[in-house]
Amino acid sequence: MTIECPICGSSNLERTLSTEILKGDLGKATSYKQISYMCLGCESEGDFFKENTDAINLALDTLRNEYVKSTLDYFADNKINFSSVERILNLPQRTLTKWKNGVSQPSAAGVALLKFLRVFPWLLDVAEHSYDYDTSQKIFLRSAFNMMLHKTSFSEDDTMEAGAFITNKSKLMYIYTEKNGETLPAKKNLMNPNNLSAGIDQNVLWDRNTAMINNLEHDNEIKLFSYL
Amino acid sequence: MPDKPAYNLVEFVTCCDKNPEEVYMIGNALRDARNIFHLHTEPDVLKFIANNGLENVSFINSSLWRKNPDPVVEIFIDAYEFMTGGILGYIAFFKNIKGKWVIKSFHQSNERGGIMEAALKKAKEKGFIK
Ligand SMILES: [Zn+2]
Repeated sequence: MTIECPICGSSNLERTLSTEILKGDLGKATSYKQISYMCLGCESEGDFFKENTDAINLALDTLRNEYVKSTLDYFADNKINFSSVERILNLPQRTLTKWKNGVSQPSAAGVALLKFLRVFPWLLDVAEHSYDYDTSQKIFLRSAFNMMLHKTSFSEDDTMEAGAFITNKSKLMYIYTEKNGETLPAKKNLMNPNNLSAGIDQNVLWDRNTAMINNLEHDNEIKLFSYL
Repeated sequence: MPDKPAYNLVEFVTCCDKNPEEVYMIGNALRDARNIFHLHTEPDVLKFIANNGLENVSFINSSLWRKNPDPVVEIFIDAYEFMTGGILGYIAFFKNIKGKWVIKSFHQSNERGGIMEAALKKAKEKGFIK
């Protein structure tokens, strides 16, 4: 039986089999065998007979299992108790163990939750505090500030400084790196408390967000964490 | 280049919903759908389109399918920009001689100064959006 290109009707089709890499989230990847057709009539290429969907879904299952394993390993490595996580997230007890052992599979929403927890484990703390808005902001900022301090090397090459400004209207945490001994003009403004509130007012992005000022010319950097 | 679409967009979206087996995707379009929009399989893409995934869709142009091996029949490709999440997307499709839909492109729009961009700029100028 001759097969026809579904795009142009030509029977001049070439079938190829290749190994395709499927890139997933969190930097993970897997591969699958892909069937493909090249039409010599219209030069179109593709899975014209819809033969790859099952293989792709199987590869996606492999990736999903990787995400589950990665997050549950992270919990174990960081002494985060499965029962506590299940309690905090209102999941039925033993859910995570069942996912880990492959007894049951998380839904797509469950996998998305695990991905978020792997990237932002402090979200567990947010859930523990009943998702209270103000508390959640503080947890986020504390996490950001800790991360910032961990990344601060205080090495000899850089002049480093980190601190906070607190006014009755706003709080601002900053980290400053100076790579070639020149002081960034923006920093001078920041250091002047008279300019601080104006600076915040001028840049609405700073409100409840993380802002970063880069001075490419001087290779200096100020990272700001602020909220009103 | 015609300034009107060659096809009815609603008819295309309806076909993605009701008769997905009548819609084909070119390999590159599916690869872009996967890499840019996290839509991994052809059914994923068609269900996304069927579920009104192409937001704020706006017609760009209709152009001749240059690779059409049949010189007698003119086939046009309709191109649209759309929004999804924070991404400005681009889709191009046509209906072949047998009446099947073919999605030729599905990627991030690289139209500098495209219609969507112009509309967003105008909306910003008028203060409708920030
Ligand atoms: Zn063909």
